[in-house]
Amino acid sequence: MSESDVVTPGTRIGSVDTHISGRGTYTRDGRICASVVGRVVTKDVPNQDKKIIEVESKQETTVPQIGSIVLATVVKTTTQFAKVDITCVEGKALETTFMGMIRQQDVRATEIDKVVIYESFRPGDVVRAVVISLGDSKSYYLSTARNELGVVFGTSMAGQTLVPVSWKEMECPKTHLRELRKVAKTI
Amino acid sequence: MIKISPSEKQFLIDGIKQNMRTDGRSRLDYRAFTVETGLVAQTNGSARVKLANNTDVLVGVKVEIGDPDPDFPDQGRLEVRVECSPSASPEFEGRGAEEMNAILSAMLRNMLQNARTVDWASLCISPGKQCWIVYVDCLVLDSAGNLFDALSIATKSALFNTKVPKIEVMETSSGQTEIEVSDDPSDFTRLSTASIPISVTLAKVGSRYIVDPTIEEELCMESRVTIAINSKGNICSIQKGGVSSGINPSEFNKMLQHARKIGLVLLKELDALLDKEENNDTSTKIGFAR
Amino acid sequence: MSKIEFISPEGLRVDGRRPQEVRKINYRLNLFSRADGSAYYEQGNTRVLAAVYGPRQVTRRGASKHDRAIINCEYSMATFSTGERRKSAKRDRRSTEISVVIRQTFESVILTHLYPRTQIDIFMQVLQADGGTRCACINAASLALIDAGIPMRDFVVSCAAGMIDGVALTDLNYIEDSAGGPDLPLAILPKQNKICLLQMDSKLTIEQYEEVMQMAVEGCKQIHAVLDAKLKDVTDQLVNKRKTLL
Repeated sequence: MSESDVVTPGTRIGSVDTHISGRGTYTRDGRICASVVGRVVTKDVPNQDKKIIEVESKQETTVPQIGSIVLATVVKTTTQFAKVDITCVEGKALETTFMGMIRQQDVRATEIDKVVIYESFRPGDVVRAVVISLGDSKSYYLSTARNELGVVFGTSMAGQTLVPVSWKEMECPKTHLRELRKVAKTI
Repeated sequence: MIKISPSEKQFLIDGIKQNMRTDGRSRLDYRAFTVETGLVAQTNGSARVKLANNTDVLVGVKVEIGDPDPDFPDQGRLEVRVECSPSASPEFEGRGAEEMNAILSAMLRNMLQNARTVDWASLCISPGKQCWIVYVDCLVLDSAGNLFDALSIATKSALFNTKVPKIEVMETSSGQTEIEVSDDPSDFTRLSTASIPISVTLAKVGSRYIVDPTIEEELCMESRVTIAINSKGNICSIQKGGVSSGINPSEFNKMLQHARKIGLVLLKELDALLDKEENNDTSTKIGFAR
Repeated sequence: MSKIEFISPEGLRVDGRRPQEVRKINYRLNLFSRADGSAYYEQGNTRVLAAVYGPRQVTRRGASKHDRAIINCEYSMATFSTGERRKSAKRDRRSTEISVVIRQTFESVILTHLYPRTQIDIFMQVLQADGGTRCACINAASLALIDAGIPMRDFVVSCAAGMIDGVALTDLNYIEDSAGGPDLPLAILPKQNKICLLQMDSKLTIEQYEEVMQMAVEGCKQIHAVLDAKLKDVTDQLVNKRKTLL
């Protein structure tokens, strides 16, 4: 199977002995077959003598994976967790949103039992978080326990966009009232 | 569910204030639409309308002989049904589209039902006993806003394309009426569709109103007015819907005037397109496989 | 009662085809703006549309599976699709049965373990029915899944075969289907040579069954050749126009 050949699902494109199965392929009985329609591409892998074989295809719908950075809008807060609507995954906007949840113990890295959700997030905030687990049947579990994760955009009680002051405070430019949030460090 | 962020909403509303919509149109510009008739073989008439390649509606008309409405024994009957297919949106699966279907069907029925739009009396076969029942079935395949207008244009086109088979009514010796339907496919009568109106939808966004909203604009609109205009420039039906605000009566009048102007232009365009379709023979029809 | 001559003395069928000939096929991908993948497929006078959404969040909370995606199928016929106007087409038993059957077919083919806790929706709409709608819908759904980029083990193709007056026929149209003979819809994975759907009604002797099965398999292979060739053509053109598929 030469490179830049267009293949359809099920076409045999290589064998496990000579290649490693990559994106758009699957293995069956020691043979590597294509699983999408696209062009066959082989790439070198450092420290391995086998090449990785992939099928380049039309982008499929993105789904949040463990470890991906997501942008989410806070929908609901309780004392135990904040429910969010995941809208972007790794910089790509999603067609349909997924439900996510940030639990009390995942908001920050230190003093996790003293976290008050209402002082970290409010409904309507846009939050940058990382997916830590596929969660339960309803939502993905997210975490903001890193410096660069947390609230990136929030609205004050007066309806103005909040300006970050420190890692836990944001100020309204009109009323100069400070509100508590878990702020993301965006440098 | 298409969602829109507050910033995007603000962007749309501000743009509309400055007479610039996100797809480049001005407030009172209508999207280009294409019409194809006679696509579905098993119907008496059919039409497919695409608004800017994103809103896709297919209407099939079938005529059958049956009992007339007891309140109108000397007229034909109309049954309108709209079905939103899940290909337009995944929430239309199963029973999800029921509400939407009901609203759209009611609007179409409103527009078509009265005696001035279609000559229902000509569809009567024997008063009180038999008449033609016209079944109008609409399928919404893809939605990018403004389904009302697309459906009304498609319905008018499908009815224009409808061929009602010629029949012979005979009295048998026992006093029963027997109806013989002509088998010849070229033996038919057409419905007079010149008076069928089409609807023009105006949406109020912020303090301005726009015509033919796209789906993002529909999410930002405060209220919507759908006005049906016929070729004489008369207003045949008005429907105001929408979530937020009411409309000032003088502003309402202005909206009606604009809708009327736009409606007349659209009707002329539609009539020209339908005449062209009429003269195209079926072998050049491409339908979906374009 | 006039008897329709299903096979003429020259061996031609009602529409002029030979017994092993499949009807003319045409299709087009990516018709709808909102669906992730969509296809229009016509086989003779049978015309169907398929739309695919997914993988996306599971709508019925209790139904999500922790290790794979669930497939959700809906088959419906437009009211104007048949000669006699049908009543409301969604919830009747035939549509539900066909939806379940098609879902089971695709559950075995789509690589669902790659998307745990998600849902893939396949919606099929029959616009014109002239026999073989179930098979046409499977082919359309296969194409729509490919258009959506959802990975599958193989390209599912489906064809029906039957027997009338002792002659095995491939791809029955409505007239031949209503003749009362056996009807065998079959879906296979052509490259792996595996059957993923097999149904049959009426009755056949074992030898006749073997013959009809063979016809159905041949029909599937014919359809696969047509779909494959055009797919490669379309993708080739896309590649040349954009130099990359991404």
